[in-house]
Amino acid sequence: MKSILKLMQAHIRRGKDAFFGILLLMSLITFSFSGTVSNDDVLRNELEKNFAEENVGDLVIMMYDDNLTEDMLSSLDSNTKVAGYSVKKLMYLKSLPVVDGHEEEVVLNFRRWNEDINIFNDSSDGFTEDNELKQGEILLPYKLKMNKRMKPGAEISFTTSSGRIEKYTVKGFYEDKVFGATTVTDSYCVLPEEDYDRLAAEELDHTDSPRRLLLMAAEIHIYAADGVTAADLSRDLTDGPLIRSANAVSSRQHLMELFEMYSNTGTRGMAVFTLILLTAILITMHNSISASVEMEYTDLGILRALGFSVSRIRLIYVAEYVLALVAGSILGIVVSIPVCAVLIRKWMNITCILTDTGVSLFKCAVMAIAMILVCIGFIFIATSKVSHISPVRAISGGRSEVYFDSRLNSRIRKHPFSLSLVLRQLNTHRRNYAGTAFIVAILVYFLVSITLLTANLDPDKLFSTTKGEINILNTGGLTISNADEIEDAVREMDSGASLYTKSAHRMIVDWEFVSVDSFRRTEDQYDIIDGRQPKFDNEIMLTKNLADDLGKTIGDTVTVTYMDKKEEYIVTGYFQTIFEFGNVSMMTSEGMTKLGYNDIREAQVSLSDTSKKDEITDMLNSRFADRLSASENKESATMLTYKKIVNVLMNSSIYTMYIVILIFAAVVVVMLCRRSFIRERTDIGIFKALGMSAGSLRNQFALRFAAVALIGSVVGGAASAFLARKMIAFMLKIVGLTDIKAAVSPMTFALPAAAVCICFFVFAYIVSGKIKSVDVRELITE
Amino acid sequence: MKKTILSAKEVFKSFAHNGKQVHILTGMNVDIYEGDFTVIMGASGSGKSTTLYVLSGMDGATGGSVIYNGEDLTKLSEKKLSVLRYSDFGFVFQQMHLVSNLSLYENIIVPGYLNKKRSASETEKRADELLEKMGISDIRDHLPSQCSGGEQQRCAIARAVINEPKLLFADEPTGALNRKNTSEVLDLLTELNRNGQSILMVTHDLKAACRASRILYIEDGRIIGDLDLAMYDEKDEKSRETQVNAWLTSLEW
Repeated sequence: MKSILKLMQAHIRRGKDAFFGILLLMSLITFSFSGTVSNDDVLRNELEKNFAEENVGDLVIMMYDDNLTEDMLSSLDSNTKVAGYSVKKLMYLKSLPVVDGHEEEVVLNFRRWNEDINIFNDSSDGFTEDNELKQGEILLPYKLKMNKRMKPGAEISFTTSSGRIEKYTVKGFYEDKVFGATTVTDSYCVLPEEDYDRLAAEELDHTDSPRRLLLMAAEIHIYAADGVTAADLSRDLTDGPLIRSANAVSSRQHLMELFEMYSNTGTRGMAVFTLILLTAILITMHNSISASVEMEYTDLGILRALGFSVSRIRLIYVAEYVLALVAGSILGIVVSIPVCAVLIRKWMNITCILTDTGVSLFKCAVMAIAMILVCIGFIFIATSKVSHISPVRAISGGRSEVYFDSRLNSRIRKHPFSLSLVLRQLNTHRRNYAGTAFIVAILVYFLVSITLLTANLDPDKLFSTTKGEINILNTGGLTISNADEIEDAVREMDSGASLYTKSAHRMIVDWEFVSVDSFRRTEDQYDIIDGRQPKFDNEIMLTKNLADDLGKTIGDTVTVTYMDKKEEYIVTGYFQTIFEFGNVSMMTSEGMTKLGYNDIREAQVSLSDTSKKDEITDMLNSRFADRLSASENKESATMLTYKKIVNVLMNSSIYTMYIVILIFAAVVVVMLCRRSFIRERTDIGIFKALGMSAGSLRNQFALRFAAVALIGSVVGGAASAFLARKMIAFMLKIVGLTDIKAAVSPMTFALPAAAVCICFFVFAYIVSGKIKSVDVRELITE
Repeated sequence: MKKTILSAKEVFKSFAHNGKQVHILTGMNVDIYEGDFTVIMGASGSGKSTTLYVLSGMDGATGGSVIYNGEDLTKLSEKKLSVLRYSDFGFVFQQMHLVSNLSLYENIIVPGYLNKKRSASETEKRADELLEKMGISDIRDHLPSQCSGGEQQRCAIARAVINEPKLLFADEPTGALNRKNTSEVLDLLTELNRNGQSILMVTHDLKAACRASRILYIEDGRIIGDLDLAMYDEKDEKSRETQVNAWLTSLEW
């Protein structure tokens, strides 16, 4: 053991570059995945804790309180798959609130205050001790903090059906443990007990009221019996009145995934990234070990002559590289600790719940150990050459069987002289450079994939649904059958104007409870992957995700159930959307009214003469005051801020990956170049002695690595042309995107390739600087 | 009157070792003449190889000057020295130092291609002639590792003279060879000198030294002996050896 340690120390001293290179590469990998793993871990832990505290059911059904009957609840009592249930009440506000005099495009719901609610302190890194809510105050969920107007002290007001203007002062922000994520459209605010009870008693509307501005809703938490899953429960209750009358049905898992949606995408991306870096590190180690065996051939022969077995010699390499890998892992994790804290805090802008900010040391350590074990296996493979070293031949200099691996077949020419020498060097050590080219291929593949991912995750394209200059809010009574009348009224003032409406409700499609959308005008609503949009009232279009879940293809029939109505629809095509995790279907307005659903959820007016905007808005508000409220259509401040945050998070993740990859490339290049330089030191000295200038030799050296990088870039570019879209689809499937359609131009491939080639050339040129500063005699002296 | 081709004036060469200065050359003064086969001899560690490397510009001098063609080699830029190495000087190493992944032919032709005054075809033709002359044309496509020491050294000599250098430097060219190969290599060098090639060779081998037309003896970094000899003739080998041996003995070699 002592002899191995001694030899290992000497080996490290001699080959410092390889040791520190591997250490640095490993630290880059562990640094990269520590943040994501820790973020996922702390988030999941916090969600489990929060959901347990809030007693969230395995299945959560949201419905209007008016639709909830005692029979429905009794049916749960007698259901053997149900262990129990609880009902929570809340209020839906159907009009837009006014914040400090400005109408805000935000959907507010109201809960009743209780002492278990945590109110964030001013810096949002903890909760305040001041745990009470006075009459006239309101608490907002943390996600509304992004809205600049909705700050403590702001006044929020809304009008009830009786004409009363309710005013509340924002006290602060609280942690909504179940529905607080920014991926949930509705915002659940908290009202003081006195105000909540007063509203419930005096200002509520009903589902059959002419004006429906404030409605009571029920949140039914159903707990599955032992051995029953949420999916089983959902299927069991599907045909029953409870689900048919529901506005929304979510499983506990689904509610958790609303918080984890983007971090899960990030995790998949990071998994691919880590795998790629690990592959590159394995190849680099292989190259390094091969070069070491070549250069130390005689020394290894001496060791064998002295009695060292092959496995002992291999153990020296294992010990050295394991030390580098372990040290690198520790360094990477330690460096990630402050970065993790910042990342997790930033992520709170999306999850809106307070979590720990520490690194998940155990998980990160387990992952690092798993990678180290893979590396150890690889080291054993890479050191297999040691068994071919015959002690006598090694000592007497016979090393041809490990030195050259190809016949010489590229001619040395006067023109182009340098290039012909470069090609000869590449050809001679083809196997070593093949490994380097493979690493480049991986790096370029990943850079191209990141570029494609960025193009597909443009928040402006993903979240934008509003069309037109005027927004129409349904204040109760705005139906699909009104649409023609409203459009005609608008066209009296602007003949080129069009009315766009969207109706949407969760319905049962076969056995899945999903959103069914319909549009008055269907052009450009969704990104169609295959087939066509529905044209007739018996047609439906599904997302690919949903179609796969239902096991349906184009031409098949699905059954859609809403309340007590069931109709069959033919699948005409597939589309993709990020909404509802991609579980959405679409039919015509006529198809929707066939099911008895007639409400318009949102509408916009698109004008050909925008100067008439105010005039038309006033006309709509006066002529159709009983059923709608019209205003200038603008993206809500919350959505704008949300898009900004997603942009910032995505850009910073992508730039970080670019930087990590380029640092990785730089480390790999320096390691390989140094090894090549040491191996070819004598040859370089000979060329210098023959009259080649140092500059010319350096150029050749750097050109060689640039050529390798170019070969690797071509391979990587070709691989990404075929595989990148599939890989990104795998990563984005979780958020509902199944078809990657971003336009690809030559620059998509050329830029990453150029970046890597230039990086290789520059670093190889830098490393070869020793050629200039060393005397010829030193170079050729053993 | 012989023409001086290379001149060393008060050349010093020192280096630091364990905090102390070690002086190898201590005021070397020597002129090398055109057409001569000059040999430098001396005891081990006397500075023979260092003299060769400093005079050829392969190694820098700590002090003094080495004048070639009116220019001081110790002050020339790296770029100018490289040009000198392929155009005016040739070098043969003890360990041959052929580029391991070039064939014998390619090892000869590479410095030839550096010479901008000759076309590719002229260079290739000269390489073919040299291969023939050295007796290695049938193994021209072999790698150095596939050849014997003698074959490699002959290739190294061909490489050194491909551009018809003004001065050929040789550092113990027979040091790593057996007797047969040694003889072959020495014959080649002798013939080159007969044809007008100026040679400066370092050796500790008496037989090799006897091929010279001039022997310089170096001790403590200075030339302390200078012996002129007639052109080498195989028939006079024994008497030549005796003469040189006596001279060396007088210098306490």
